[in-house]
Amino acid sequence: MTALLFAALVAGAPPDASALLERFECARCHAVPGVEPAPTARHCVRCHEDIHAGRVEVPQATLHRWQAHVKSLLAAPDLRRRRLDAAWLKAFLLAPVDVRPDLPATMPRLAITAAEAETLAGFLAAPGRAPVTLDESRIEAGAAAFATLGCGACHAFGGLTEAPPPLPHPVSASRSLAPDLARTRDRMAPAEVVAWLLDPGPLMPRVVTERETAEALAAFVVLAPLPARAPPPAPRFLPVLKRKVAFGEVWTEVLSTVCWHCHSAEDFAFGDGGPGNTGGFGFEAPGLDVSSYAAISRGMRGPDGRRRSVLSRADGPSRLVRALKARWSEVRGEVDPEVRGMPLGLLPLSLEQIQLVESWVAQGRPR
Amino acid sequence: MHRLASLGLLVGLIAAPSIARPCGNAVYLETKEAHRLIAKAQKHLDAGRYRRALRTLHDGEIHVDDRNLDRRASLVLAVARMRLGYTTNAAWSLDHLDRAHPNDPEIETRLGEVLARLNKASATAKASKILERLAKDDLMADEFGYLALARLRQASGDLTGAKAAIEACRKRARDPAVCALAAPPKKTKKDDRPPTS
Repeated sequence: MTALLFAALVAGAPPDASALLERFECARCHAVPGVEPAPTARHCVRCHEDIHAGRVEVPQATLHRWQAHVKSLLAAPDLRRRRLDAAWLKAFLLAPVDVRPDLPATMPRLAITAAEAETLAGFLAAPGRAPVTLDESRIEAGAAAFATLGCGACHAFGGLTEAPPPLPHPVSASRSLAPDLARTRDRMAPAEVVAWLLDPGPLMPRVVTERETAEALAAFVVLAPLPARAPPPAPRFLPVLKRKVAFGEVWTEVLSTVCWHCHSAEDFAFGDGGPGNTGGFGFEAPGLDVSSYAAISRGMRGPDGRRRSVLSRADGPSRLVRALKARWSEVRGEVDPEVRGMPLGLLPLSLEQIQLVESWVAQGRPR
Repeated sequence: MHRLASLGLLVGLIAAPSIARPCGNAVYLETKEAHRLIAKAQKHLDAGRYRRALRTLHDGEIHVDDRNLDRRASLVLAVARMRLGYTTNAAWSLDHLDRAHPNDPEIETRLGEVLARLNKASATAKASKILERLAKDDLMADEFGYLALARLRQASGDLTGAKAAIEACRKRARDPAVCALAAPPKKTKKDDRPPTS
């Protein structure tokens, strides 16, 4: 009843940033200004950190299995230092793009309206500071400083500089959170770039001490012409397998490694079946549980509350396969308004994993 | 005597499961233990070990606080009883579960299955309605729902529909041998006679 009343208030009143932060549960991943972090059991990053640090009370074999699986959400950007441009932030909330090449997760595509995105962006964006005009003639000096200070060890720069060398998993937070600097000109005003270089967050080394160097670096980052960015090539999905694929194999290779985390049984974590089942991140209990054959056969709730199959091929490809393929499209910047790409905000499943799921569905989903 | 009593008390304390505590006539299961037992019972059920599934859950003499855990435990118990032939008992449990968790295709499939087994026209009519809808929406929980539907269709004379349901059952089944329809009773001359009042 309280939830209904709350929902009615949010729907009826002008969107309020704190209510939105609460509804979208931003503090489950990010440090958010003025908001207490979520408790560890619901905090994605802390929970994953604890798994890698061996701080969870589970059998050793389970811990090792989890450590091998958990590659995403080991770090998330800190939103307390408001430095981003409001218009960019709004667009990003509505259609997230990959800003950090070494972070194996992106902002999830939330069920957010333009007005809500604007409110959140207004709250999280840089409050504004005295404008700085960057000098094109300083680009070369900035490029030299970029090389001397070793910025390229962590930051990609849209192909303008050599990409940082790949590191083994798990990658440190400072490296995985380092944004591709090609996005900086859209994300931040020049004054914010200069201010950040002189006083960066705790994960970036404070290597720039002089304002002149900071402005030269900012000129390079913001004004240097970028090579044309080609979208990632379209995936060539694999044909369905001829051999029999049973549920057990789909469970082991796909569902239990990724999907189950957000679509688990309702009782798995004291009533929390994950955002894809019992709700979370602004999603109202879609009711999809993939933890068993019978559970996935129950489908998910549609907007009218009625359940719909995610496996049916009556109207073309199943919803499950469409969602897995849609994630590949999202990575390429193509958003399917009808289907949210899955796994939400994570790297797409491999073509082999999608092939396995598609084959299982095409074969009539043998148990 | 005192020594014996102390020993008895000690043995009782050691033997008593620390994760369960008595609650009336039922065993009150703590959440973690309930998870473990329900998962174990589910495995027995999936493997066709119905009596062991029941025994694992103390033959139903349990109490679980969590609504969803209770749903799972009750479902395992009801399905095990249904497969063992305790149809009336299972039908009551599943009807109760369906009311407590409406719009749940897994429960609806089991309810359809059990109603199809009852020798009552109203029950089989309701079973047909449920299972036909689940088949149409492609929300049937598994092969057993399709098998029940096939039997209902066969009984109503819809042999083509029965064949299609058997095909769906075979596609889903781990062991397609479970998807067998009894041969329809042969018509005798007596059956062809018009009913007499």
